[in-house]
Amino acid sequence: MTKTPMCEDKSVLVAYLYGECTAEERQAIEAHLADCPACRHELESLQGVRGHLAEWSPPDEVLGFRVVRGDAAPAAVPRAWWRAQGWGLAAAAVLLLAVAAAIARVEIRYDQQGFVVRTGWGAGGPTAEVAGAPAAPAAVTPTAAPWNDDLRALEARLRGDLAARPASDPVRPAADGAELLRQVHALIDASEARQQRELALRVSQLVGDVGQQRRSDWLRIQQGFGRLENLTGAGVAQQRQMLDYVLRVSGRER
Amino acid sequence: MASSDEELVARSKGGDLDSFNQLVVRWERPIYALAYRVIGREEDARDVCQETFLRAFRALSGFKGQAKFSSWLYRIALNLCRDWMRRERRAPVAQAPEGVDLFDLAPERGEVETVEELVSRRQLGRAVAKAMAALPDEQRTAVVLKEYHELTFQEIADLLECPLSTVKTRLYQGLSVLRRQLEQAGIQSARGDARAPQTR
Repeated sequence: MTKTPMCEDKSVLVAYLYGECTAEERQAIEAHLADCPACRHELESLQGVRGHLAEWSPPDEVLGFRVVRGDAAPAAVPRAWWRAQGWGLAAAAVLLLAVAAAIARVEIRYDQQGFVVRTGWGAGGPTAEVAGAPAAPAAVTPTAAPWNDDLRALEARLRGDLAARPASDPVRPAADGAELLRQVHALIDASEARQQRELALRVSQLVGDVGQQRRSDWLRIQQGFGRLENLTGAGVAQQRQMLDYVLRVSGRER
Repeated sequence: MASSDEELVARSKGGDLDSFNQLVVRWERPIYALAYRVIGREEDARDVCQETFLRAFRALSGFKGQAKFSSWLYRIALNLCRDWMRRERRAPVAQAPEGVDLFDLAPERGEVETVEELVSRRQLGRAVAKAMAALPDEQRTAVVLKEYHELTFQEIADLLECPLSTVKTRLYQGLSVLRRQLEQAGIQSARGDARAPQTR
């Protein structure tokens, strides 16, 4: 059969294959296919290819793509722990001092006797000048301080209150500043001594461990050399035996 | 009732991120399938798919609605696939110059597998993937868009920015090369299960 223009125009065949042609085009193509086995065969083979293409599918993956906003507030940067604890420690120290001062009934005054710091509950309890008190109280004229009268009045009133206290009230033992300092120094000395003892113990233990490990490594090395010598000697001996055998054999053959 | 693409696009332009994510859910598998069939690599297809939606989200304000949203997504995805193929130089066959027989460009197979072996190993899909990989980029793209995404000739022409006749020619050439590849692999044309032409 001679080829017609429709046989050469494959686009028509493709349009019919995918059903994208008008009714008139469809009728014309079907009429041609009825008379052209070659085009009919090609159409069928292309339809078969399309059938196989349906077997190819992408992997069944979980995609889960989602668009999210990028303007979320950044996570709060955690403050350095030492900063947070520093303020807390400072506040605790101030509170502790305030409580200690309240317990010790610290009284501070500056009068003709100089700068006086009084601690304790008892009336007329021991007073002590604060360490590092200025050495020039004698140079201060008693009558020049304007608050002396107020302080004397306050002291008299406090003495009166203390004198009026019932005898059953417990009286705390007096603890002057020097005594406190002495006790603090003693505690510090004891702590230092204890730390020195612990450090010495740890160092001695470390020295012992290092020495023991050194001796163990040295023993292992010696054993290794021994095995190596044995192997080498055995190998050499074996080679010597083989050489002797070869020499004997060669000597007999001659 | 599910919202249409146009409705979701309009809400997305207004700042509704959930509406855009509904579009993502609706089109991520078709876009991924397109990228996978054009590129042929799973991980790269995922990257192209993800990048497609990122670009679409960023350029959503410039989408005028003159074309379908799906067509716009396909265009973005195909551009990314093309960029990927240029970058990775994965194109299996160079573009066919005028007058060159496409059959000569199809790679020859050394060993021929029988149909029984393929069926026993359940790898007909892999054979098709190999055959598709042997196609030139333009033919493979046209076949993928037509066979797996059921775009019309005109839609494919608009996407690929080529004449309508060129689309039909690429389809015919692509199917012809596939037919030869599958025949070499021992797969005969399945006439019994071929898709019947439909009137549009």
